[in-house]
Amino acid sequence: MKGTNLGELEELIMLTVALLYDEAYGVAVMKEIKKRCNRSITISTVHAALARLQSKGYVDSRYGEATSERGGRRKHLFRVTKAGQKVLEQVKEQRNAIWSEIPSVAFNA
Amino acid sequence: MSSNNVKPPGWIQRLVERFCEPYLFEGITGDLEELFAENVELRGPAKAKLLYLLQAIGFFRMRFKKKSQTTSNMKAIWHNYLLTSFRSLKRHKAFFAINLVGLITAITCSLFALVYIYDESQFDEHISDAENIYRLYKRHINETEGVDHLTYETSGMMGPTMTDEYPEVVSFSRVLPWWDDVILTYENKNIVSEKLYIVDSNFLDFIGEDLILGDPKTVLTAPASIALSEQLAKSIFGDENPLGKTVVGINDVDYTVTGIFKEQPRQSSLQYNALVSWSSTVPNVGSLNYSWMNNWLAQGIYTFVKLDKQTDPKLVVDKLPDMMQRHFSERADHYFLKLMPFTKMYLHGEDIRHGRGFRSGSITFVYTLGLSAFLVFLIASVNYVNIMLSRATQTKTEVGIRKVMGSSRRQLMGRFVSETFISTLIASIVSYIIILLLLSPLNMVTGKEIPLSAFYQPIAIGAIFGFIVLISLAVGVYPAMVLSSPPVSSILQGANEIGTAGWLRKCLLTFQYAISIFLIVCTITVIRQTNYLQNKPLGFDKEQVLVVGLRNEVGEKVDVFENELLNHPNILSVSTSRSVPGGGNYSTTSFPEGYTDELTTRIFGVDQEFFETYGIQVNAGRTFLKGSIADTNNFVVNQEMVDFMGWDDAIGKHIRFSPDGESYPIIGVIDNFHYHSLASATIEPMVLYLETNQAWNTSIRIGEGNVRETIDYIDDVWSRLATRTPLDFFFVDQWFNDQYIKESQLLKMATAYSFISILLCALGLYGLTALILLQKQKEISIRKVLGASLTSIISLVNRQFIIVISIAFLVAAPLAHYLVSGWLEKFVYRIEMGTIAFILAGGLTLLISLLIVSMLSIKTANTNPSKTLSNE
Repeated sequence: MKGTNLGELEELIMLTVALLYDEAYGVAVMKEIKKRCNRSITISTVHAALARLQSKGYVDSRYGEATSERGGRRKHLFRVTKAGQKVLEQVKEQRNAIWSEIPSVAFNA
Repeated sequence: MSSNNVKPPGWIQRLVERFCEPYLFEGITGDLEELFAENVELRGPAKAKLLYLLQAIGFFRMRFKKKSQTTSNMKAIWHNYLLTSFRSLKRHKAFFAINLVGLITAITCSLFALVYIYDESQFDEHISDAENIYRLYKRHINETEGVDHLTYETSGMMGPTMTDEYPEVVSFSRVLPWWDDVILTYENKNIVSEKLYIVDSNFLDFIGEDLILGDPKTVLTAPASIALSEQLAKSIFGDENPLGKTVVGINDVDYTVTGIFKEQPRQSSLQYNALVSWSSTVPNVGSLNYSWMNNWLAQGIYTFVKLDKQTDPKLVVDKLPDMMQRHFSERADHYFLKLMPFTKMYLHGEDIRHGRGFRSGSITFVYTLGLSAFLVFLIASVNYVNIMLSRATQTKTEVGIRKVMGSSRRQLMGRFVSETFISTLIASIVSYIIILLLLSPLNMVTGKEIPLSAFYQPIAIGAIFGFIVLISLAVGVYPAMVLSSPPVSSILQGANEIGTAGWLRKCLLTFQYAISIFLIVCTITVIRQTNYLQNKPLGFDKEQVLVVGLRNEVGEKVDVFENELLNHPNILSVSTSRSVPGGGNYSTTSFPEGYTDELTTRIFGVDQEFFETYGIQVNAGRTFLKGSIADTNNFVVNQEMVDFMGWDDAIGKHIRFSPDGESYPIIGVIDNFHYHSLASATIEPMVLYLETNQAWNTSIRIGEGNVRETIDYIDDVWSRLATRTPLDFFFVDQWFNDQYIKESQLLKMATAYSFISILLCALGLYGLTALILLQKQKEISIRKVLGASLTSIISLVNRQFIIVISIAFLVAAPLAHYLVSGWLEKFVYRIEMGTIAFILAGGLTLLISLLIVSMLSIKTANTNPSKTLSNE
């Protein structure tokens, strides 16, 4: 397995997956990111990132129920794993720590 | 969703399905389809489909790729196939070697041909605006005189008049390549320029060449200006700044250097390294004072014109007869002006006389080379297929067992194609090395200067890969199909021949022989024609005559030169004249007595010794009296003139050179002699006149003595008289041979290719026969046991080959006859096609084939039958 550090896009996608909880599949993640960050990502990029995260063990996936929509195809649903949660918290803590120690003059100059 | 009826393109889905990991596939296509349905609503079906495609393309990345089904088992199978291929190549060394030699030859020949043809096609690519530039040429027809040829020679007035009168002709530029090497003198340095052009002032701009030094606007405007190539300037002036310096050049006039340009690249029709301004030649303006370069009558200038982009050159050509009619009506019925596109000039102008100073290629040569290489390639391919097919008996057990073990047909084909692939790979590498090593001899034979770097270009490397793939597939697949075809049952039962291969093999063999016979017939004819041209009597004794080109320096002291030469015992005769066979003669019009029209006449200015030096036979009357100028107002004519005029007695008939000029009597008739290449020119009616004050050339007949020593003596005399210029001479017979350089290059190439083809055929035949005999060994042994004689066995094997060769001959002969007689048509003096080439080609092939087959069958027939029959 490659290094455990998280890319910026990967972090964003994981957060979105967590946000959407039981409805996190490719198109939904893509749209949510577009809505919140106004960032256009192609569907294949989303899938690629999710596949990568899954191979790192930060998300796991299952197939939902078949419906008449989507040409009868099931949704490929993702959920953040414990390991994923941990790594997200780690990233957040690291950032907060840095934020708290930035001297106030740095942004006022 | 309302638009459920619109479906995304199915083929994309199938592609994605084929590519993607099955586990991911459903999620991916589901998402794609969801987006698609949305897009149909928002942007309509057409746009949605396009977006669907673009989004789908995004999924073709390694992350989604199906894990390969090639399991380790498949790897092992392929490993095994490659191993068996190597082993089988190793085991059948003889056949492998035959195949390899064939492939190497084919690839070498084809690769060289490819690079050669590519190199030829790249000529003149560097000239910007080339597609709008045309070179003026004309068809010169004169039915009464039997003249009909194409030539680039034009008069100096044609270009300017076209540009003045027709708006679609944007500009013109005229070129006169100087006939001779020019010596440029600066201080005490004498440098030879063998490529000097006299050009219009716009010449460099016209062809889009930039100056390195000098003002492009005025560079060749003033009379007596000269522009030099970088290299030439360097050798004359060294590191000094050349601009403004003076050099002594043509006619010992001073020229001012006004510009320096880059050397012309190798792949250029235009070959110059010094340019002299046109104004230098205009009477009353420049010191050269050549009025003939600036009138309608004289035809010695080469004219380029630039047309407007939108103009159809045909329309311009259609207007030219009218221009001729108005300005030059005397020739309007004889000269038909045409335009040759600059881009086509190099390869497609070989039938047009192009004069000194231009490089030209030959499309005939390119086609012949391409065709020959292709044919050799075919022969080698056929060899390969034949030998592979014949190995069916040897491989069938392997195929049978593999099939039993569960190999699919496709896998088995892969096994055989991989064998071809290995052979081709090795052959390609060897060919490449061979070509690199043979490049300089090949360049010499073909008269080209292909640099080594041409073979590092993408085209050459690409060609190599192309060959590997092409041969592996085109040549490898068919035998692979046949070899892998037999059903298991028949193989393991031991059925013998594989059905279809037998007749196919014979067809291929016939085809191969047809190619070979075709090439041999062509070669023999080219050899005969070239020999004919080189050995045809010229009407004078060309052996042992050498011509020294005089320069002004020695020309002034020619009497001293001649006398000194005659002191040598091995110099038999010396003649100094303007004209010699191969130079200094020109054609004009004359008005012989009793002929109302004007007659195109070849003019020779000669001295009294000319006839003796060249050993020309006198048919009637006498030639010019020696040691006297009494004959200045008398003419000698050639037999052609007498025949053309139909004179019974030519002596005393008068000829004049302008309608109202003085006429002079004929005092003698000489035998016809050739003065041009026999390849293109006939003998014209000729007038020889006595001219003792034009010391251009000194012709020297030398005896049987030591040639080397005699030349040293001439050089010695020369260097005592000349300080500026080196001795420059040629042998007349050599000059004539040099005229057939294109034919002799064609000859060398044709010989090489037909030699290779027959070699390959023989090689293939050897392999094939050996294999057939291997299969027939038992049959032969049984025949022997039953009392068949050696001869009956040999004739049994030979019979089918004789049939094959006969059919091949019947196919090839008419084709060769058609092609070669077309080639011969181009020559004024040519051999009859005859039957000798056909008899030789057929006989030679038959002989070689029978020899090979008989040798092999004797060997087989002589093996003890008990040996072959015992192991069953």
